[in-house]
Amino acid sequence: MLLSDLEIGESAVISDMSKIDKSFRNRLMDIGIYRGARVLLVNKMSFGKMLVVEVDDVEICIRRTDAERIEVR
Amino acid sequence: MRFLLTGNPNVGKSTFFNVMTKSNVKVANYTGITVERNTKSIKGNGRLFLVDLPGTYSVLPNSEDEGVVTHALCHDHYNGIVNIVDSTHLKRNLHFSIQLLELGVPTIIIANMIDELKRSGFKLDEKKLGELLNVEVVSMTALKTTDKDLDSISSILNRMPPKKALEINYGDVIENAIESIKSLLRYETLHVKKRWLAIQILEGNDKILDYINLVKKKEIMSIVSETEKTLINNNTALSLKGAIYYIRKEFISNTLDQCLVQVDEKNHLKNTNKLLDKYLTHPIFGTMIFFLVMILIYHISFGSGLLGLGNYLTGIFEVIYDKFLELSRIGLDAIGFKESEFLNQLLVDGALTGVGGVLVFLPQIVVLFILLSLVEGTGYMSRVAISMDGMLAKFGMNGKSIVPIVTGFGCTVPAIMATRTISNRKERILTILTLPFISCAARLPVYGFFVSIFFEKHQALVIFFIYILGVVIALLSGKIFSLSIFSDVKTNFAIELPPYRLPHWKNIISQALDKAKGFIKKAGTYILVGSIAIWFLMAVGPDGVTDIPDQSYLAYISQFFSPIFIPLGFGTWQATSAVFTGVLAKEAVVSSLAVIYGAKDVISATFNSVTALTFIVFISLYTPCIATIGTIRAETNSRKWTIFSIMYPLVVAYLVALLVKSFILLF
Repeated sequence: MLLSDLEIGESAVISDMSKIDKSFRNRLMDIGIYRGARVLLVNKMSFGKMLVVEVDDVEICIRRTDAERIEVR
Repeated sequence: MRFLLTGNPNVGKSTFFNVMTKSNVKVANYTGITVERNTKSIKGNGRLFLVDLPGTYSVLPNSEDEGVVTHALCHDHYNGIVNIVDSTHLKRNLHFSIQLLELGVPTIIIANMIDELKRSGFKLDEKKLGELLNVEVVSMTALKTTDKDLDSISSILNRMPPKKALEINYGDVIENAIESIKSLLRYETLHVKKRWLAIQILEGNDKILDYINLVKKKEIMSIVSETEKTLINNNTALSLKGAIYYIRKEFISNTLDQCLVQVDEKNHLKNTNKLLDKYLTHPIFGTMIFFLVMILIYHISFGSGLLGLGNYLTGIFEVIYDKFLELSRIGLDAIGFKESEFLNQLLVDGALTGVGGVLVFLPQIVVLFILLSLVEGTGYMSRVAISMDGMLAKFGMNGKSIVPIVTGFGCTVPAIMATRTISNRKERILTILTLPFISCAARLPVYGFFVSIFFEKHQALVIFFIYILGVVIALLSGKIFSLSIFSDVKTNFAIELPPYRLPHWKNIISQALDKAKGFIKKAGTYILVGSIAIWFLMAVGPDGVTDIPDQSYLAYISQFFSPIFIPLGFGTWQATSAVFTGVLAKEAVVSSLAVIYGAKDVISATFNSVTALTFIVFISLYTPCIATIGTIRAETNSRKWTIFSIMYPLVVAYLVALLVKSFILLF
């Protein structure tokens, strides 16, 4: 299942991020999105084009197109 | 003694810096505000200095502001490190702290926003945390700093004992790699610990590789790639950085288990207000709200009528200044410098007229800056970045470009620096090249000067048109760049949502005063010298002192270039000289014209409403000022892009001005 498939209020654990290119993956890791992290989908914005996820009490907004490249369990 | 001030973005580093040093560093509720380095002494203790470094999630240079930290750690002379952490987000903040503690430099951790942690029902045992990390930990709320906090921090800084570096066991594979790299680093000249260098290299800190000599670099790189391969094969992680990250994460969560206790069952305070977010980031409502906010800011600063505060204040300033000019003339006359004499004219018609022409716009600029920092302080800009992302992506930028764009309405120089939060270099250069088209506050005097003469009834409307034109040209240029020179740019976007906060009046007022000081300083230096020079060149010609401006040096020099502007309708030597001086500082266009023409009615005889509009369109878009060009040179680190940033706007300004003129003449 993909991160973008989550419903608002649903949480999951990131299982694979290899489809995201290395420099952006490192960037995501620094702000708190990493393999093994528990993410909670807090909100969808901009007609669902933007997703707000909560990881370790931090709320981060990413594009849906990037969330579609993140596998969750 | 010098201390490096470090921490994650948006943890209150600049606020801490300001309360500790009583200075006015720009504070906003948005990541990546500190982009310049700033060193100040601590209040009441002239021996202790704080060096404010840009906020970063990691020592590794990730986006360009962050390489500064590696550089400072390796090359600066400092006695210790002050690490600010956000107590409510220790889990993430400590990743950076660990990287610092591995250095083995005397360090103090300031656990900031402790009141927010309490409100969310947690209690931090700072003594225990200090023991576990072998470091001094002080908790505080920077916004409510008392003199006692200040004293206790100063006294800790004064007697910071050397501590052993934090050593985390990264497991056999990585530890072996660290040892091999350490042995290769034996003769390095950098003054930092070798274990730290080795770990940083393994994590992928390219900056450090640049600092060591080339022969070893190759061997070291092969160790790094071998280690990474082993880890991937063992299925430990996707990358070396990832493997190190997971071990630190484990260490952090063990540490926090021992010193962070939940005392009160409370739900974690959500940063996002769902309802507010829903509307503010909505692609339609959000964009509309953003435009309304911008129009309101614009109207209060420049508009006339009930809300036109800036315009009203500038009107008062103008009356006062005219009186002042008249009195200076009479006063100088009374003390023996006759009104018809050279010196009286030089002072009043040259220096004071030129400077005054610019200075009267001070109130509008202060009002604009107050409103911009008010908006930035609330956390609203992150939401704007989200709602504008889709739109800006179509023009080769991403949502984060909106902050430089909005800053650009104030001044292009900090706007260019604010692009450092954009992590993709090409995307960043693209944004930098479009920013000078956004009308900065320095161009406002030029618009104000002309509309007050030629468009008295529609002042705000004409200025609004010029502003919109600038934005449109900036976006179109972005589009053209992204289709041509930067066609391979991949945009990416991830932004942390800061909580909504009430901006702090103290911060806002002190920033506005700072900006006002800068503006007055510019008027008192560049503009003053420029005005005197212009007046002088106009009073002297090949035949000596002359009363006829047409026979002055200024006329001779400018006449040579003025034919270029004949198609635009302002091919006079007077306008041409103003265009030239405008490259020094945009306000100088006004001061030059004021000096050259002397009185406004002379200008209305030379320009008409069409040429006036063409002229301000040209001025709003042409080559950026010297300060901006210098900043572009420093930030892009490329001569090619610097030359491009000088020539491209010149061509665009000429073509657009020609287009505007032809369009009006059609009707």
